[in-house]
Amino acid sequence: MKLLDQFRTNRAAPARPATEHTIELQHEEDEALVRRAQRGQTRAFDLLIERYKERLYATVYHMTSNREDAHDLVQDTFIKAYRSLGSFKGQSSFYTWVYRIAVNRTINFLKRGKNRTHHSLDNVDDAIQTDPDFVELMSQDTPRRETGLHEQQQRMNAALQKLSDNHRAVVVLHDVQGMTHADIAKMMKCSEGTVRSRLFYARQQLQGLLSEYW
Amino acid sequence: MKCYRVQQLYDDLASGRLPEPLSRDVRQHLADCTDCRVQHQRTGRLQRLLALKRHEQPPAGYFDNFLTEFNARLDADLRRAGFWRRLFAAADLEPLLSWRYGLATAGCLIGALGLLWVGLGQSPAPGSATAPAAGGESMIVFAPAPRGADDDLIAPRFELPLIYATDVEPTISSARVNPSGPVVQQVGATRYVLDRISVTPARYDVSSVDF
Ligand SMILES: [Zn+2]
Repeated sequence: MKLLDQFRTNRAAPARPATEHTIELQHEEDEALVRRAQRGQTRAFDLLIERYKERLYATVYHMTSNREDAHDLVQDTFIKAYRSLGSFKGQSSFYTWVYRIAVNRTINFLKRGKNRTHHSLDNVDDAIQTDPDFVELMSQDTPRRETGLHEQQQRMNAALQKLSDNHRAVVVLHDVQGMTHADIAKMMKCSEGTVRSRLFYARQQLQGLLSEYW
Repeated sequence: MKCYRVQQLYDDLASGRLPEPLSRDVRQHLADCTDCRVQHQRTGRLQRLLALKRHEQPPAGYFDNFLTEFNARLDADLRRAGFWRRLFAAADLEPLLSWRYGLATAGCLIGALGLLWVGLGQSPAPGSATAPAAGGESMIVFAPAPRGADDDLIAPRFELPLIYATDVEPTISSARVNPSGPVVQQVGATRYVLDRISVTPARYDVSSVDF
């Protein structure tokens, strides 16, 4: 059998039905799945992908404001993670580790200027209409009441894109994704003080860029 | 309390993580300082506005083929990669191709080349390589028996004495050996000569995670 064919057989996980073994694996902690994946159990890594793909996508999407770039970068992140699995020693959680790869790859990607110049935004779901924050924002007497939801989304994304990559990253991770300062500091390999100060300056800038909203 | 210090603590105040004396001080400052109070309110509004971004969602079914695509991309990645990566991937050992293992392999390779270099650099007396050695040497080099004196011209120069295949007693378990099997003696076979070492630098393109 050719090596590539054999490889396909090894990694043909999506085509396989969910076996009893797979169902058992689904209940395992990340650490156990990582150990299995390190021993060559590709199904274990597939489950880690299933666990984190959407969260990673959301983070990268908010950093790039482009759906296609986000998709490519998350795929790329998992390929990188899979290839580097041997060097993962569990000093941080898998989640922190894979997030770090994603955020850093996204920052590198943005620095290289390869990102698409236009925004390719996801649609806002219907649940926003009942979100208390949205209801409150709409109830306030500011010009934003007059603008449509789509236009607001465009403005917010445009303002975010004007921040530096590191500032945008902390805002997305904290204010959009709801991560703690400590987790962000671990992920970005900097101090919590740096995270706080980046957040402060990023918010200052955003307030200036979105001045019509205050 | 300084305004700058207070502004750094908004998040902790909002999440209730601020310990009590500090929390009271921050609240007091916000009550007394108009600039910080306005700033605090604006930050709260901005955070609520940013949180609404969570409602931006990809279309339904967007991730349905994610895993299939991952496998296809990994497959395509391997096609571009060299033979060794394919070999490791086929054996599901690809994680072993990390920088640590890469370094260890490179170290072993350099060590082996170093030993070979030392060995090649010291020429033994003529004819010494043809003398079978007694057992118990630390290094055993298998080679077919020499054909004749002419072969000494191209004989490899090993410092350690060679033990020929014909001189070595089988040490494997007798249960796995067919005693009636033929004993192969390559008398008169050509001596193998290592006349050139070609070393291609190993590529470790996953040597580090580029953060
Ligand atoms: Zn103040």
